[in-house]
Amino acid sequence: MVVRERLDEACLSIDAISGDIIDANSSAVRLLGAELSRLQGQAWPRVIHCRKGCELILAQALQLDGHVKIPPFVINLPGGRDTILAGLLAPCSAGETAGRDLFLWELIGDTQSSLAAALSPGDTAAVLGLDSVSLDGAAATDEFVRLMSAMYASLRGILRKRDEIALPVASAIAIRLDQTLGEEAQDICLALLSHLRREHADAGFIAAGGRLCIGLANRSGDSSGVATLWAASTSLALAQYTGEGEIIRYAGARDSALVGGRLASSGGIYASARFGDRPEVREEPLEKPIASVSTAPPVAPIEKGIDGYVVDNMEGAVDQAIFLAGLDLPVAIIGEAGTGKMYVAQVIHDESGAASEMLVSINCRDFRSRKAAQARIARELADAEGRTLVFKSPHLLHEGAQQKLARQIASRTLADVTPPRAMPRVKLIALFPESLEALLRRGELTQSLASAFAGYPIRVPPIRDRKQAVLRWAHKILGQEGALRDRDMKGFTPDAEQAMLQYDWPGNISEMRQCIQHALDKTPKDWLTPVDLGLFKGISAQGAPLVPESQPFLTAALAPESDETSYTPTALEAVHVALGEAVHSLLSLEMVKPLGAWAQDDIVLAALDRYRGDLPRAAEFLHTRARNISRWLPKIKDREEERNSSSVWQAPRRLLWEWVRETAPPEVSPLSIVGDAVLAQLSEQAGSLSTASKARILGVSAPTYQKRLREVLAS
Amino acid sequence: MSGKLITGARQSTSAGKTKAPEEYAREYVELTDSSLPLSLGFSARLNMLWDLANVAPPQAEGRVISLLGINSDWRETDVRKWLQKDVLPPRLDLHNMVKFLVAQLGEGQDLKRWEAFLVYGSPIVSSPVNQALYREDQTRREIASTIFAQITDEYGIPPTAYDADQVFQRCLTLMQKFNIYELRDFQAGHLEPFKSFMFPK
Repeated sequence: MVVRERLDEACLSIDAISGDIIDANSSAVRLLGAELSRLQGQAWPRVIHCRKGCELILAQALQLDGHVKIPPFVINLPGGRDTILAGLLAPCSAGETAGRDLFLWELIGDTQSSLAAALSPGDTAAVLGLDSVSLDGAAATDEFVRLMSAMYASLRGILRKRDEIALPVASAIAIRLDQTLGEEAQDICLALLSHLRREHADAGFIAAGGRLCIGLANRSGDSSGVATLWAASTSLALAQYTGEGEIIRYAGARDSALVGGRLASSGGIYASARFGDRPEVREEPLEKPIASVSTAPPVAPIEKGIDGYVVDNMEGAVDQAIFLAGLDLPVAIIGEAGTGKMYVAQVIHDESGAASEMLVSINCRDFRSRKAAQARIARELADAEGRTLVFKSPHLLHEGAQQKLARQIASRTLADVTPPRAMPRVKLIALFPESLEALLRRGELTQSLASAFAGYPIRVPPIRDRKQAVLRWAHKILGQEGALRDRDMKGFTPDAEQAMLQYDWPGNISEMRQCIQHALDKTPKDWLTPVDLGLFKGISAQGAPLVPESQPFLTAALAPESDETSYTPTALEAVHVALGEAVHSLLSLEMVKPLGAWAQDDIVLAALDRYRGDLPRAAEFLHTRARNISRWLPKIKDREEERNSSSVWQAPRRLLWEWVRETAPPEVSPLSIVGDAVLAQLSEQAGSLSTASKARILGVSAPTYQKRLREVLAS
Repeated sequence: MSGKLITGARQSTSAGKTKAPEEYAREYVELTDSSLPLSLGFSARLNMLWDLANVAPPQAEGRVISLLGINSDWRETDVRKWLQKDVLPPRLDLHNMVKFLVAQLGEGQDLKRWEAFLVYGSPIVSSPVNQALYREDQTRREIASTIFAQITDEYGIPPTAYDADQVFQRCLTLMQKFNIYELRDFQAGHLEPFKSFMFPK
């Protein structure tokens, strides 16, 4: 024991058969906080108080012959403090019995200690690691250290103020995500990886295939900060060890067993061969100074003072609007949903110099009968002096109502007054989703009404056809929505901008606004990531953000258009597909989330948005009573945070809002439509799931689930 | 699509597979319309031109009657159809009416283009007013001035070598074609095509 006494490491000699402590050096006595005489003869588990799960690792190591390197594990020291140890087992001869020398040393330094101490219940520990790199000399090592420092600086810039980050240790960086659990933590980590990939894409190690992974662990009430940090670090090690595809990995109950399993297999055919003359080098914080750290997030600065016209002329639509504003010409504004038709109508109105309240919007979807339509139109026309009347989707009017409106416009004479009199001075605008010729061909629009508005139609192109305007609109909307919420938004991360440019925006500017609104509701940060926007498509096995495969221009231009690709699902069909995908994702992640309730929550909120908060009208749309909506709203609010933070829910939510915004009032309650859709998906996909779990996903009790299922099957 | 059709027609002609006159006659009969297709929006465009010319009261204030004062040969029912029901006037009446109205608009108007625009509308015939309204935009004029200065400086073009007004108008035209709404839309790669268009050899 003389030689062992000289060691800094704690050393315990253990009987290989009984597992009792035979001897210990003074470092071991200090570490374990007990006299040598009280250690000797004790079984090792009574002396080394491993934290939950960690005993397995030590026990497994003691099962092995020869020299065994013991990976980090957590023990509880006298006084209640947790610490992390690593160790080495070596054969020794202790008298007549075969023994094992167990060398132990503490791994936890100041950096990890302070982060672990700050971890509170409800926090998540995230340990980011870079692997799959090849270091071939001092120059490469220096470059590696610089890269880790640069990544640390990037992370400091992008993390929320309340989060905490520790200095890099070798190839890993520990992070504390304040009061963040589950999917939200996962979403943040996805954004971090995506951001690092883009920021450091040119770094040699990343470009050469270096892989970034993150291990995650939630701090629960019964575990310590040290144990949580260990669980996250172990999860990272397992992610790096077990699979190429697993980039972000949550700590699991079987992690200790998996680490034990690795011990048995780590030596390959040399498992009992001498491992080496010196123990593993301690992991110490990097001594090299960290490069100057930028505290400002590396986001594209928000473009201020955008008023729409100067920055996006919508391919001439705004010019035409200004020109036509001065003429007595009924104007058709044609464009897909969300392209900004109403904005162009507003430009026409503003150019006329009239007060903003003189713009009257008549949504022709809302008329339930010809009589109601004609009465409202007659009233508005009679009282239209100096106003701008905007007819939204007038092709949805009854044929008779269309013809009557067209006659009045063509002759500039009011039809519903006796004696007939000239129409007041009014600016007439109609918003159409498609060309007048297409609507005419399909018989949806009468020739007379098409004729009335066909003089000088303004076409507003979809945003996918004017990609140069995507970021300008995004900045404009972010500025507006930030101001509404009294938040000084800094902008979008570079990969968020890239994601926005790559996305096709089928719902156009409206969808972009909705996307940014939801992102702002979801995150307290003053910058937005692709994950916040719901545009994150995932990360490849190599850790790079997934981007659509681009085709050479000529290949894309010459590719024949098949019927299959030209098919566009209706908004409701898209909702069905998205709900199906959401159910599938839940089942594959083995998660239970109340998708049915969330769907109904978003339908209610979207209906209120459609009718600008008008409860009775929203209630009529939903086939319910206004007081029911008031009763539901607190619960909808309670579920908001979880709904907002779920990455599974972002696509269905966007499509549900789009459907509610665009659809004519359905004959059946939209709440029933989506409820039945979730139920149908559960019946199809979740055969093996218990009824209780299916009911929870639908957001109802088990008896209600069974009743609803019987009703659907019967119908 | 039209390119494919034209290519197909050329191929059949070059292969010598011409049809017999009877076949063409039958095809002609099959394709014949009994009446002219509707000129959707013609009345609205015609009214717009009357508004721009500012020679008759607004529609709600007796435009039809006032037109009869301009040409007493026109009949009220016909004028009403022209102004309200997308019915085209006889070709000569249309020509004379447009000639009269365009004359009120000042110089630089293209009579034939206006006629075609009234009959077919945009986008078959691009609007005769688009470029004009673009050219009145002060923001674009400032951008055009900067581009103008940049190109003359870059290529060392002396003021004696060009008609400034003409070159300036060419610059505005190309800005519209390239969708340049802000100075930052003008990229380094635009210099060469702008120079070639503004200062043709």
